[in-house]
Amino acid sequence: MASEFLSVDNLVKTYGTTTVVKGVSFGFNKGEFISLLGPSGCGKTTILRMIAGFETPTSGSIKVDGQDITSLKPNERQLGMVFQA
Amino acid sequence: MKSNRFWAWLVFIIGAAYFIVPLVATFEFSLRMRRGYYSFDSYASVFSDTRFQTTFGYSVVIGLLAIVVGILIVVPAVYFVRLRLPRLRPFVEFLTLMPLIIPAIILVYGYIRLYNSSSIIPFTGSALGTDILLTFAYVTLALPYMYRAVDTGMRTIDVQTLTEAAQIAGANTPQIIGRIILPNILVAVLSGAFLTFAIVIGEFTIASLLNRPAFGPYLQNIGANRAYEPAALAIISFIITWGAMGMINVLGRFAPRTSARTD
Repeated sequence: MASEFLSVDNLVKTYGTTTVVKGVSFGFNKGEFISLLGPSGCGKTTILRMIAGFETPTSGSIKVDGQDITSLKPNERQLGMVFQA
Repeated sequence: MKSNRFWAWLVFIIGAAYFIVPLVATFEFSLRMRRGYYSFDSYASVFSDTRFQTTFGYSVVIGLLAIVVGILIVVPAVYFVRLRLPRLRPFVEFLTLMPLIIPAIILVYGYIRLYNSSSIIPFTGSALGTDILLTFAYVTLALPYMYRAVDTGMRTIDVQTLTEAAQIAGANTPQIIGRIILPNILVAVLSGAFLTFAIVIGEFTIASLLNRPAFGPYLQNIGANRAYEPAALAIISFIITWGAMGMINVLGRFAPRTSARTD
């Protein structure tokens, strides 16, 4: 796990009483290409928005290159996100 | 159908006459300085008066400063209310209406009491301090117009998406407001700016009671002491105000069509 470029560890996001993301963990290395698949409203966008920094995770951590970026602002993260048009 | 149009035109003509007749009469009177024939002598007299130039120049400078300060206060305020605190919107809207509810004379007496030369912040103790106070007073007076103009402009762009896109590209908050939001609402900001300018040029109460050499008190002074020049000045003021309003319309055609709301 530690050698992975981006790692998401036990990510949880709760809005009020609804838990949208329930302990998601995954990771990948540089050069790898991954897809998040799932039906509408299952939390794909929420996970991406948490990685980008637009949403604060309720618990869990996001690491890039071993550095914890969970509490950084979006503009302080060296990440790019393209919005769907 | 025909009679409907007749009544519509009648109402329009009465409404137009209500504005145009006094204006035409004022203009006609301003040309009568010489007995027997029309001349522009009163205009020549106004423009050759050095006090006209100095007071008008003073008001222009104060107006421009008020516009800059107003933009610096209003644009970030509207941005944050729209983005982070939408629940505060009714409160902020009410707050910006206060200058319309509270008469300028009450505002200026409040200022004089609060910032007198023996207070903690003695703005009125020096000419420069009073100029600063006057600028802030005009920012307050223009707040309802500036706020509404900027708020309307902000409504036409997708603030949320623009902000997130700018953040992901590495922009911090001042950069987002200055280089993303402001250029996108520039036309709205300019219309607010011209309204501010139009208010400042003719404002009398605050400038007079703070004893600053502004255009408003000069207008009043001329009005009390001359016969034909006030009419000429009124026409000149009208032209300046209309020029400002015309500028809003002209600039409105250059409104940005990029990054408009898609939802």
